[in-house]
Amino acid sequence: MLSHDLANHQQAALGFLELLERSEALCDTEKRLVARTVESLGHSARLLLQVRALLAKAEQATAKPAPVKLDRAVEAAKRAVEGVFFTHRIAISTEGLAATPTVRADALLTEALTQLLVMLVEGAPADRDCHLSIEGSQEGDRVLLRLSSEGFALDPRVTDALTATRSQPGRTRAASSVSLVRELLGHYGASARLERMPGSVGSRLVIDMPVWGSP
Amino acid sequence: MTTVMIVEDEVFLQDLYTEVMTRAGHEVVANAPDGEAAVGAFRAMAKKPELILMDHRMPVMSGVDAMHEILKLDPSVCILFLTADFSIAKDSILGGAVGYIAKPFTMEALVGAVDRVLALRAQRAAGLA
Repeated sequence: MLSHDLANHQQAALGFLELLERSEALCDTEKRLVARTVESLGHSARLLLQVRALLAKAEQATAKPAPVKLDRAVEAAKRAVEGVFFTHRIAISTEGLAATPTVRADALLTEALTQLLVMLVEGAPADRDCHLSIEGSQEGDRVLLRLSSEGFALDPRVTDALTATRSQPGRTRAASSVSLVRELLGHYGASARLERMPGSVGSRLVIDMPVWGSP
Repeated sequence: MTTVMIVEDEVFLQDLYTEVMTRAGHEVVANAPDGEAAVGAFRAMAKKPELILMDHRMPVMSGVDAMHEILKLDPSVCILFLTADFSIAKDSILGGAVGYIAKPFTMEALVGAVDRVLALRAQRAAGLA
């Protein structure tokens, strides 16, 4: 409810700023200030997603794993990210999700997925289209979800946090996001890792999840 | 000019949508803060609005419930959902809404969506769609 109300106020503020931005009465300095305000509101929207994930984590103690359909969780995460980065040109393609079996997870999987997609999008240059792909596949009693960026890499701070052998909560926003994702996923035996993409400029994150009903 | 009704519990958003619709050349004929108020207002209006911009998560009565009631009164009205609640996308479309935009969105996207809805409505009226 809190995040819903915050989202409404962000929508209103961004909408009014968009109208202001178009005003012919504004001088260049005022237009620059409006653009900076829009940018700042965009950052606060991303932080809101992190707050939402933290609230989800607080509820995790009482959450019980259940069968989750990956295509639905991915769609919800996609919508959240496209919504927050709505001033960017983001295209997220998906493949193989409907064919994957249900996984052992809960609603918090969407929050973890959202955080990982945000990490990828934040690596995208502001002046270019942002292409991401999400591919699901089954390997034995595990389901792998590969989230890849095309033509741009993850922010090095995120890469460092993902490859760190020990979590470093609170040191940077990237580190705390990675730590949060690990906690959300680890609750039901899932994990996230970075996968090498030889010959590509992009980055790939892999979520490894247990199939529902597997030991 | 199209007549528009705005159903939204957040007054800042009511004001914003009213401003955007007015600038786009449409006439906002009513604002309602929840689904029940929207149904009541719609029933009482002698001349029904052609388009309703509808939020979903509102007190008293949700947007989807209000849509069902309003479409019983006039199946020809176009209802466009503007909501952060993606889970109701399917219900709103299956229930008879003409479209859905997920918050947050740009005002340019809102005007574009309204234009597309109105074009579709005109095609339907002409028997082309």
